[in-house]
Order: sequence, then structure tokens, then C-alpha cells
Amino acid sequence: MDGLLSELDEYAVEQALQIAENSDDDVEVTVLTVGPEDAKDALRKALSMGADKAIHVEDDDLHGTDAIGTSLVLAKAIEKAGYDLVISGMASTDGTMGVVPALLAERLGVPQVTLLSEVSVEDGIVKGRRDGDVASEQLQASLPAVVSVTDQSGEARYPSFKGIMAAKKKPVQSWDLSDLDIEADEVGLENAYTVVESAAERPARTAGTIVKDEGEGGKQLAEFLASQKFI
Amino acid sequence: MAEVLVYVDHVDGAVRKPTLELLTLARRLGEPVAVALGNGAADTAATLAEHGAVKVLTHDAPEYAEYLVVPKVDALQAAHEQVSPAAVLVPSSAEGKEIAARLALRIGSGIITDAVDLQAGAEGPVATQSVFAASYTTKSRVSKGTPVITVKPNSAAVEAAPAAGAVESLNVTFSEQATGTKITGRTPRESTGRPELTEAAIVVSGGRGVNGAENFSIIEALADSLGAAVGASRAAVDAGWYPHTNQVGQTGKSVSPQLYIANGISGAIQHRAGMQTSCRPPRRGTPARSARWRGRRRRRRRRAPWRGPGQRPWRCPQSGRWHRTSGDTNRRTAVIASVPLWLTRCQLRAVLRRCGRKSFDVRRDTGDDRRHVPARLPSRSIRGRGCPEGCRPDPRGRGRRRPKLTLPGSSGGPRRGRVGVFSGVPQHSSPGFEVPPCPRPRTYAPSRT
Repeated sequence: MDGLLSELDEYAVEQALQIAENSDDDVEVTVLTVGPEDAKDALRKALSMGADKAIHVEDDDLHGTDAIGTSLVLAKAIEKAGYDLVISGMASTDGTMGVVPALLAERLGVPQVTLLSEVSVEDGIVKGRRDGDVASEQLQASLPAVVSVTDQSGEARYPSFKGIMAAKKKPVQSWDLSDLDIEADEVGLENAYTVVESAAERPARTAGTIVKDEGEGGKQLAEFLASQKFI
Repeated sequence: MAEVLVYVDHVDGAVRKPTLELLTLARRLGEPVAVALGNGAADTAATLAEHGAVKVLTHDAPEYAEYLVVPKVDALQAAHEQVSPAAVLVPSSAEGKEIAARLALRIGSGIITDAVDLQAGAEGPVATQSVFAASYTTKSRVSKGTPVITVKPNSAAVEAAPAAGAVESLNVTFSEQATGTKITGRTPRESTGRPELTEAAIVVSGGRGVNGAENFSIIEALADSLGAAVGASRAAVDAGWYPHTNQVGQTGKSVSPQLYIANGISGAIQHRAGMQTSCRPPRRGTPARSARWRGRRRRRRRRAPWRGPGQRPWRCPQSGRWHRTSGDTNRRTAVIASVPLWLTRCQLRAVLRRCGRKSFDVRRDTGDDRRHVPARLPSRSIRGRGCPEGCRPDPRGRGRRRPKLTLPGSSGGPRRGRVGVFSGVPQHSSPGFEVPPCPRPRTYAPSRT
């Protein structure tokens, strides 16, 4: 969004590049995005970090698509591009739903290994550690699979100057809905599965009471909490 | 009445609080039918019945513990076919959202995540969401298929409403995808005895200001006395002072307690050392001159420097303080031979206090009033300057260019015969204790030094 690579996606690109570097075979890293014209900047940033090629799916009919429609477009594009492993961030920074990786796995019919803090790929098996709120789990699935990584997975690298220069020569393909065989009535704002009935801006917070601590501050806070029935 | 499917989030039979809130919300839309899966599912029936579940569908299989997410989606899909509900409610945890999303795709419905309130509407349940970092509140509904809605914890007060709670077992056939992702190991979190962060009514958080992992014990003590959960900001988690599971924020947990106590968060560092408004009494012998005078040719008049205390009381117009004499402070001026640091005035005062100087005067190097420059002190720094608040202008007298190194015990005149007696000198290059940060913005005058 805003034409920059979102922070949560940076972690995904970083993990993809690390997997590519650590593997013995030749691994090609392709970055894919669905978005308007300025999504190309996000692709360029990912290419300058070290990805090999980029695919941009862009179409006016995609405006206002919800998560389910987005997952349809992404799934068709991924199948067309061909893949062994799909890595994504854990959520978008605007909607923060975090459901698209699971939907992708459902549509592609492959295992989902999501919300990983650590990921590694060996011998066609992807392994990772997922930290839930009840327990921390070690997951394992065979390729092809859909993986999503959290912000705990490691700092993303800064693109080097050489990377930025090389990114200008890397190929960026542009596809639209007809390339993916998607009808316009499957995506877009009118065909979304949810409808927003109203949106209201939250009123600005009124200033609360400020307690200055001159030795009595603790007592005043305790009285306030007691009056609100917290203690 | 229509039935509403509620997915039960439980740990070995202990139902977690968000599920009970879901049952309360489900009662607004219809009759709640709970779906409990995995080990201990049958034990949840009692609690669920107390909170309004008309039926409890249970199923236990090893797949729920061994494989990620998909077996539960299969079970919920089977329950959906059996019950044909008006809506499906799932608690909004990370796993809950994934289950809800995959289920919505399979049954051809829309999904709404992170709802904070639910009302029954004419065309289906209307969910209230708080979006864009709580700057907007939206109401939305699902327009196609059975609405699948995930609800955030702490969205509704739990109300007990005893209901039948008839336990039925669910017939589930697992799909091929169910065995896709294997869980090879599980390390349960150590329970601290405190309430779960997302469900707690009171949260006490610590941030960068807590300054160390050991100081979090203070936060924990406060939390224990209030019966609260402990949270941490990203700064504290990145520094390793508290585990990531307690992080509150966009990439951590999202909390909505009734009371949130933030300690040392948002960077307000208390800066107390040496922050009095400085009012520097004038150098000896120079009364304030008005603009009218400056224009005229000044009569040069020898003025005897005032000696001794109590001879010329002077009141600072800015602070209203009375000073005994203009020359008085010179007597007690601390002498700093060299301070290799670039410190601001406030920091230098803190250093001097720490070294035990009782009173001192720190002056600036340049004559520019409004800039806040570090008080670097070579010998020529203690010279007459105008008070920035306008107490007095630059002195123009005889004493202007002489380096003003005075010793305690002297009367402020030139140093005669006393050598090498300087005290209060920080000889080390680093202060040896923490110099508090000066909150005033550091802007530098064009360097003359």
C-alpha cells in the first residue's frame, strides 16, 4: 500500500531470499503483487533486495476486492506462474485480517504452514516454528506449500546499491484479469461477499485527568482506581 | 428460532473466556449451538450449557492435535451441513481467523474478522469493527451465504443463561488436506497464573522506560496486586526484556481491557536534574542599560567593582529572585578546568551536583540568546554574558575579556598567587554515572570555537 513494500511483506521477502541462499539447488524467487499502478514500487523494492523476477497483476475491475476475491486472483496468478513454495507476510498493514494465506492454501489445495517465527526448507520439506498464545508448535509439511512468516522471523535486509541498480534490469511482467481467466463478476467491489453499511470516524479522545506526582500521586491514582471500581 | 454455530476454543476441557462472550453475542442472533473439538470436548458441555448453548456438538480425534487447522475446518463444515445455521461465530485468535476463512471459502460465504460488536439486522447480523488503528468504526454485514464472523475478546460482557446443553456427537470425515501440515512438536506456554493478555480486564504494560528485564518485576508486582495481565511494548520486546507473547500492538496482541496502565511507554523520560530556570545574576558592577543609553556616547566611568557581600542587593527582573550582590556568585563559582564532553547546561549542572558542588554557575559559550548550545568549558568560557531572559545585557566593562577563573574563597578579583587549586573537576572522560538527557532540542550556533 502507498507504493512501498509493507513491513510485514519485507519479512516474507527476506525469508524467501534466505531459503534461496541456503538451498543447494538453483532457486528462483519471484515476487507477485495484486494492486494498482503504484504497487510496482513495492515490486522494485523487493527486486532490489534480491528477488529474481516480478509479476504485477493489475486491472481496474479489481478495485475494492475483498479477501476472498483477492485470494482467487492470487491463486490463479500463482498457478499460472508455477511454484514450489509460496511465502507471504502474516497480514496486510491496512486490513490486518491475516486470512489470505489460509485462503490461498485452500484454493491451491496445498498444505498451509502459517504464522511462522522460523522457517527452513530441506529436501522438499518445509519446517517451521509457530508461536501461538497457548503453545509453541513445530510444524512440518512437504512441498508445494503456502508459508506465512511473522515479524519475529528476522530483520529484513536493506537493498544494496548494487541490488538497486540490478533491479532495473530484472523483468516485471504485467497481467490482467483476462490473462488469468477470471470474469469481472467474480471480483471487485460490487461482487464482494461483505458490505460495509456505515463508517464513522472515532471522535477524538477528550483529555483525561493528569495527575502530577508530588508525593501524593500514588494516593490520587489509587483513589481514582477505587472510584472506578477497579480495586 | 434460527441456530447460530459457535466454535469453542478450549484447552483440554477448560473453556476460554472469549467463547463465553461469543455465546452471549450468539443469543442476540438466535440459539447458540456450540462445536467443541479435540481432547476434553465433552467436558466443556457443562460450562457451555450454563452460558446458553442449546446443543453441544462434540468430536474427538487425534487429528485435531496432530495437524494444523484443516481438521477443525472439516468438522465445522460438517456441523454447518448438519445444523444450517444463520451465522457462524469464531473467536478472533490467529488460528480462529484461519479456520473461519477456510470455512467461509468452502461454504461460499463472506467473512468478517475482528468484530467488536454484533447486532441482529434486517438482512443479517451487523458487525461493528474498529479499523485503521481504531481511528474509524465501521458496521458491515455479509451479503452472500451464511455469515462467518470472528469476534475479538473482551467485546461483550459474559452473561450466564442456563440452557439445555444437549451433547451430540458430530460425524466428521476428514478431507485429504487435513493431513497436510503435521505438528511435530508442541511446547506449552508456562502459565504464570495471571489472566490471559487478550482477555484480561486490566493490563499493566512496560516499555522502554522500564529499562531492563529485572525491572519488569515491579510491573509484575503491580499487575498481581490488581489481578491484571502484563504486557510489553515493542521496544521492550525487541530489547529482550519480555517475551513476544506479551507484546501489545499491531504485530503483537491486541488488547481492549477496561483499564490499561502504561509504564515507561511513549518515551516521556523524566528529566529532573538541573532544570530550574536559570537566572544568572549579572557580573559585578554593571547595571542594566537601557536602549536610550546605548545610542548615546557612553561616558567612560571607572567603576569600582563591588566587594563583599550585602552591599548591593539586586533583583532579577525575570525570576524575581533577590541576589545579595552581583559579585556574590563569583565567589562560589565552581571551576572546571576541562570537560571533554559536549554537555548541555542542564547536563553539566547534573554532573556538578553529582560531584558535590553546592552552588555553581554555568554559562554559555556564545552570545546568542535563544540557541541552546552545549556548555563546553575551556578557560575562556566563564566570561561575562548577557542573561538570555533579559536580566542584564552583555557587560562592556573592564572585566569583559579577562578569563574569569575564580576560586572559592576568593573575592572575585584576579587570581594572584594561587595556583593549581581547583576543585570539583571531573577528570574522567566519562561521567561515571548516567547523565540525564536534556529534553531541549539541541541546535548549534554557527561555531566560533
